[in-house]
Amino acid sequence: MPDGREKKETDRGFWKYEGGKTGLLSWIFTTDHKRIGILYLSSLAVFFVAGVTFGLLMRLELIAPGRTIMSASAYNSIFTLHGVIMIFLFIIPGIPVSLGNFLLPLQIGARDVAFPRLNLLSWWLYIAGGCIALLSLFTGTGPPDTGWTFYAPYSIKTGTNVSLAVFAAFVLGFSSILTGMNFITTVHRLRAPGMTWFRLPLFVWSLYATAWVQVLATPILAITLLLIIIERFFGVGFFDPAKGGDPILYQHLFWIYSHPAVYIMIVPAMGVVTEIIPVFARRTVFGYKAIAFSSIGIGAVGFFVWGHHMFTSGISDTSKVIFSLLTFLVAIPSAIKVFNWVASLYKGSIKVDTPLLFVIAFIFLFCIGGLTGLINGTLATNIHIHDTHFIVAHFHYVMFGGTAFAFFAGLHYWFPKIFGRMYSEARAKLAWFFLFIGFNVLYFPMFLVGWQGMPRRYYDYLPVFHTPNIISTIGSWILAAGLAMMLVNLIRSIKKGEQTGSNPWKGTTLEWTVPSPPPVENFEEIPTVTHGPYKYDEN
Amino acid sequence: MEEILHKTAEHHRDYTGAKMGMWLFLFTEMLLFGGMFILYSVYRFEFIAEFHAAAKELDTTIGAVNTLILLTSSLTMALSIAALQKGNKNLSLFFQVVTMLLGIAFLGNKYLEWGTKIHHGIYPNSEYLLSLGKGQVMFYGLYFVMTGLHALHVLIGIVIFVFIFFFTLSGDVTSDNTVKLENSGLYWHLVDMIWVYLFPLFYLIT
Amino acid sequence: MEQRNTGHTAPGFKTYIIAWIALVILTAVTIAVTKIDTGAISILVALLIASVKSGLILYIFMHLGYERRFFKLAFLLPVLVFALSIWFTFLDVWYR
Repeated sequence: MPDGREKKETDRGFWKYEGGKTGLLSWIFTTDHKRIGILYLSSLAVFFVAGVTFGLLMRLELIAPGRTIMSASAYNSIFTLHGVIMIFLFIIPGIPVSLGNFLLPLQIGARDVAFPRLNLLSWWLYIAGGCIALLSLFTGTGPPDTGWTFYAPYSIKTGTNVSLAVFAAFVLGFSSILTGMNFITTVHRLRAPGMTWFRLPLFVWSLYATAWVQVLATPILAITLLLIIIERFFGVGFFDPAKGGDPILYQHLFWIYSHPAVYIMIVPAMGVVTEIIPVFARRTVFGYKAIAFSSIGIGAVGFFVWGHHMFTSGISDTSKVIFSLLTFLVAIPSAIKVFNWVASLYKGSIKVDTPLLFVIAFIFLFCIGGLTGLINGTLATNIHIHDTHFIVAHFHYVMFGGTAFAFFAGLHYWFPKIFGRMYSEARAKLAWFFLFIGFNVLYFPMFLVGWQGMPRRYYDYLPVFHTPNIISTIGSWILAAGLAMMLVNLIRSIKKGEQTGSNPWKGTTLEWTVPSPPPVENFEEIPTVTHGPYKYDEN
Repeated sequence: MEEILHKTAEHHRDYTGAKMGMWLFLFTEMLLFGGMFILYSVYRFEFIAEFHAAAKELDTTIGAVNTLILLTSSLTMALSIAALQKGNKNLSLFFQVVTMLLGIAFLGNKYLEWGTKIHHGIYPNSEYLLSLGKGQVMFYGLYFVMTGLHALHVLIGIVIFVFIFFFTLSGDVTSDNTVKLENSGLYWHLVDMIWVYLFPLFYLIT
Repeated sequence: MEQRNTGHTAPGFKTYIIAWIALVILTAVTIAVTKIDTGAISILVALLIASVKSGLILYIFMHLGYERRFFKLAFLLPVLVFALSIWFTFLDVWYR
């Protein structure tokens, strides 16, 4: 980053401008999309650390068969909490609300999102949802023990505090819907002059596709969760066979949302990856339109594969075959993206900095996660591995190895833009190394024990699975060490990092044309766009 | 959407943007009820005869009256916007009040209808209802949840109109800035539209 | 509906009242049809009439007919998602 070294006394941009309020109030009542992005980023970090802690506790329990550090019911609560926090509070909002909020207006040449106040409201709802979720732990009849899926009829019959936890997820869904509405309208209404649809950075395309999924899928979750609460209070019986109900319908409704939600999680991550590759390969991205449309394609087909979560529930064979087929189809747009990324790197002048390292880790881990997804989606093998650790390994490879690694990549990539300072590259690389090794040591053994038949969601297992579980738990410690190193490096660099210029990576998208950190209204003058986002041909 | 919109967030109102946001919100409302309609269709498919028998117990007259009330309130809603756009503030306020009153009348009717049913011992999980058999339990479960959720939306709509009324009075909503009124109208019409489906699906099963 | 304006101008009082009359008539028709026993197709008739009614509400009262193309196309999305979701659910329920 030769030009990043120029010692320029940058003013602190949006960090300084408090908008007539002071201190904390200037943050929690801000309508500046950048400040809201920072609010989200810090709250996400808190919940993420909580989720990781629960995950570490689970792994510690599983270091030996039988009771190790907690009772069976405590383990049930812990895996529910781990799931609820990681899914609803970290990975679903994740990239869109933090990096997306910060960068979407910058990348399309706008001064803010379309509805700044709704943006703030969505953060408040997010915090409210988080607090209600926490409240469900300490009040009533004990923390929920249903798993994050809240499957009926158990979620209706269990004595634990399910209603409150479900209500928390309902509120969080509302927050997610508001973000989606906001982003769609922003992309339609606030693009700078000359910013045509096919000049949009591909991160924006991915956010746009995600926003549609958020708007169209989340309401189904809302009604499903409401029904649980209604069932618990009034006993209507929709999911109770004794009263004529059908518990499988609960699963249908739940996955009509929750499978598309998987794409709410992964599509923005793919957008981040697409954004980083051209910058570090110094080449324009290969197959711009293919990547843009594959985001839409994944979003669209992803709506109709939900049945693959229910292959062993007793749904009809006809629907199983169709859901399985569609599951295979959704692999096509995903693979298009992977091929395009690799093709974009081909013959580039690659610079292996931390963001690209995370991106490469993403591609590797996502491929493992994605391809094992096809194994899960095959009807016959699914029966063998359903509800085993194979599934656990699969979705952690996709969600953690995929989304979270892309999130980390984006954090490192946009860190100098957000904070105006650079982290220590050496420490970041070391942290990456620990994360990558720890991740694989933690999750790969789960494929093996899962294949051999170790079920998920039990605090105990047969002694024959002991060795891989020890390895896995050790992996969790390596991973945690890597996370700690990364977070310490980043947090430390907010204050102590070297100051950078506006464009340390020599990126060509619009956010790099404004100072780092960006000023309050982003652009002194709204730019007129005359070319596509990745213009590296002259290099 | 090929045209490039030269819009910036520079403090001038984006009428189309506001409408767009509202329509997106309406989509979420449609799908919220959509989840219930999925349940309805499955259970109706499963219990055709029982649904038929149960629906006979609902009072078609009350249902029809409520349909008329909501349709008329949609009309007055639309008229209040048209009146304001023509610059006739008082007429618009009048129609807003009428819309609100019709909404309240709808809820009053609903209250009476529910009251009668509950009085007869028909409510979720009641002993009498459970004794009627599975199809009836599902029918009345759907009836109470779906019309209840709908009534909740009517109630929210009335509360919104109270605000809009005062916005119009205070000059926050004016003849050249009608978007708040229009968006509340969109919401109201959607609630009406959902009732258009609920009415035949519960009251008119043959 | 002969009052229909072009462009983005909203329809007038007259259009609204005509639409309302049509809606009331359709309500009467849907009730009347249930008196005649049409058997299995009765639900289709009821839904068809309801859809015509909601079409009127959408097109006239909600101005969808007068909005730019984005709104019309976007409206298809939730409808499509709902229709396909119900269809896929029935692939299970129907053949179980």
